[in-house]
Amino acid sequence: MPMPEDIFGADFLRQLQTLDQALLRLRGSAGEGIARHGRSHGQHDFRGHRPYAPGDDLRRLDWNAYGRLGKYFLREFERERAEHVTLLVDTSRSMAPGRKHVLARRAAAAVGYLALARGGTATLAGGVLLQGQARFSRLIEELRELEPVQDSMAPALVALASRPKAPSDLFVVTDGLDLPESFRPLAALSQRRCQVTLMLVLAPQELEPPTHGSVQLHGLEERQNLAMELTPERVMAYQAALESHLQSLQALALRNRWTLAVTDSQADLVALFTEKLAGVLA
Amino acid sequence: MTLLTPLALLMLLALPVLLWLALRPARAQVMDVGTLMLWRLVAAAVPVTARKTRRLELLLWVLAAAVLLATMGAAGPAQASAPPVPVVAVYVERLGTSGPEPELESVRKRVQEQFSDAQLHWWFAGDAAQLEDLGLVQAIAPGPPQAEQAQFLAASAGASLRVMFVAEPVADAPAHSLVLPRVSSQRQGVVFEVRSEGETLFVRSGPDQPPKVEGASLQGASTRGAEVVRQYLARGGQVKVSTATQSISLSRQALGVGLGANWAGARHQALLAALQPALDGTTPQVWLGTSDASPAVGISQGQVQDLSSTQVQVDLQSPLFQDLPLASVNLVGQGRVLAPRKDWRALAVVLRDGRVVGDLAALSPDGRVLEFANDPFVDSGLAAAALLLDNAIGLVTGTRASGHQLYQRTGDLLPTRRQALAAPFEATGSAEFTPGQDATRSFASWPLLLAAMCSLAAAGLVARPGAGKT
Repeated sequence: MPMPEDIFGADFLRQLQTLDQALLRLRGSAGEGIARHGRSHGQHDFRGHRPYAPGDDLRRLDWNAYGRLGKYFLREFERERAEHVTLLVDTSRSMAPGRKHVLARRAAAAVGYLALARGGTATLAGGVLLQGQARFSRLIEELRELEPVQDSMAPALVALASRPKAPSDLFVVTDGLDLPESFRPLAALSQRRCQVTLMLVLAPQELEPPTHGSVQLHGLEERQNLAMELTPERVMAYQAALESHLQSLQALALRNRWTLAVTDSQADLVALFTEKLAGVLA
Repeated sequence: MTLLTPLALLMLLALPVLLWLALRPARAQVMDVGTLMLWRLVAAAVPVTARKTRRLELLLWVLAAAVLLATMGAAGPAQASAPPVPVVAVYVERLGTSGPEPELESVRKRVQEQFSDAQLHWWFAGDAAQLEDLGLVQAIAPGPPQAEQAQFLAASAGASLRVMFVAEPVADAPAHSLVLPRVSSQRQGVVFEVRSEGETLFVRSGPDQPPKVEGASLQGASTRGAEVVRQYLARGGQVKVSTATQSISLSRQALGVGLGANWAGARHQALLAALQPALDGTTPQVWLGTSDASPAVGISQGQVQDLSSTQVQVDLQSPLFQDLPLASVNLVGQGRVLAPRKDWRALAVVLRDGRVVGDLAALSPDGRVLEFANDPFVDSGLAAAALLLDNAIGLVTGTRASGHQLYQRTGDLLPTRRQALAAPFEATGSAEFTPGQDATRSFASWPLLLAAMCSLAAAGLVARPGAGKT
């Protein structure tokens, strides 16, 4: 009986280290405080306090506040806040084809790793806030559990948007194959100063469907079938519809100042981050 | 052709399978997609058209033809023919009788009993009418047994078995041949030679059953093996020799000699006396001493010439000089020579300095008149003259006087010694048939060849540019 694949195995960890070094080089070449989408703050701008949570770096406790108020508060700076990322991974069944969910979880893990490595925090939407590199394993454990079994990502978006406190930095990985209206909760979060990075992962057969033969399209999300003769005309029509859909999301991203990246599920993780998402992470 | 051949059955089953594969609805491939959202838009935008009627493509036709042809080939089409009936060729040696051939009925029974399932072809050099009721009888030219057997063996090469009924064993029986004795018992008392030497008759026959001889008295008998030679002395002009199946008549026929004017000397009379008793015929069969008649031996026909310093040259190939002591023969005694005549053949010439002076003996163009320029019968020694006369008579009549039989046989030919002394012997050879030639003509190679060509054509269709692309 074959061992189940560990999507966060040694190879992946080596990729993360490679990615970290690559991003550090990018940062060095671009200079500190490089402007990112919608950000105009300095690295050490003091932004305020927040209550201590287990796992927080004790070195950042504000002992003065503790002396005066008797409670633990952590000092937050603008730069540091940017590294408090919230990760939302689409776990709908549509993420199964082409192993989209694998790249999605690995990308989320990479973002979380980078945040933790830089003294930030990482939170899997609906999970606990993690801080410190030592907690990366916990993040991985949580990501391992995220199998593509849900009907839709929309409830998760709604739940996230309905939280009293909006995440400061939200990294969403999805295939985007939902109606544009379903992304309205993200727009709402943007209104609440949440920096949204939307990474769309599509399977190769979704980008280039086969052009011959009768096929029985099985919609994993709908759990319905659609018989279709995949003629070149229909494939072209499909690709046009996909392009139109992505343009709709692009327009949505521009309007809400999201960072948007579209990638193939077979893409190399390091290349993906250093090329398409370098501006976000560096 | 039968489709019950396992290979043919398999190939026959391949045809419906091929058709089913070609005509079956293409099974839709299941393709998982994350969501049907976009595909539904596509289905709405580009409606599904009715499935096109599937047509049999050229490739299918070619493949079906290949399978059909291969099936035909595997079924082994052939032109069936009746099972080959073995052919037995039977040679029956003649026994040389003038009447019905002895033991033909016995031969027929032996063959028909032993080879009842075979087709019999009879070969016989005698009167084929005697075998007509046996069916197919092939005639061969009569001749010595070896010649007849050679004809038979050559003509019956395709037979399954050859059976030879012969008078004597065959030393080396040919393959697929059975050599059987022509007779079931030793032939007895069959006369195969009657010869006279003057008044004495010699009758040669098989053993036992001595012939009945009228007009001659038995003088003695000798036996050598199965052969018996009886000696008789003729008493009159007619002798009759009878056996159970033979009736042989002999009549006295002396050699008649006409005498010309030149044949009047004492030597001439002495030579005539030496030819006695054959020379008492009344009708001349040959003339001596003159060349006015034919056949004749003329003498002293030349003209006297000077024959000094000449040489005599004779034609040693001529029967005139056969067994003749030439040293005792004098052809130039009177110094005469014959002038060379057109178409006459010179048997002896006189040469001087290599040139012909004249002929000493010449033969007429028809070979029936022999002329001598001189009289060698007088000039030569007596014995040489007698031999020369004997040769001369033989040259113009065809039979030397010494060979003339006083009693000559009339009537049917006598059997040969082999025929007369035919006796049973141990059969040799084998009665096994030659394996029959397969009379079935197969046509399997043609459909198989066409099937191969169809397969090549199908491969070409598959390999052609653009084949198999949507």
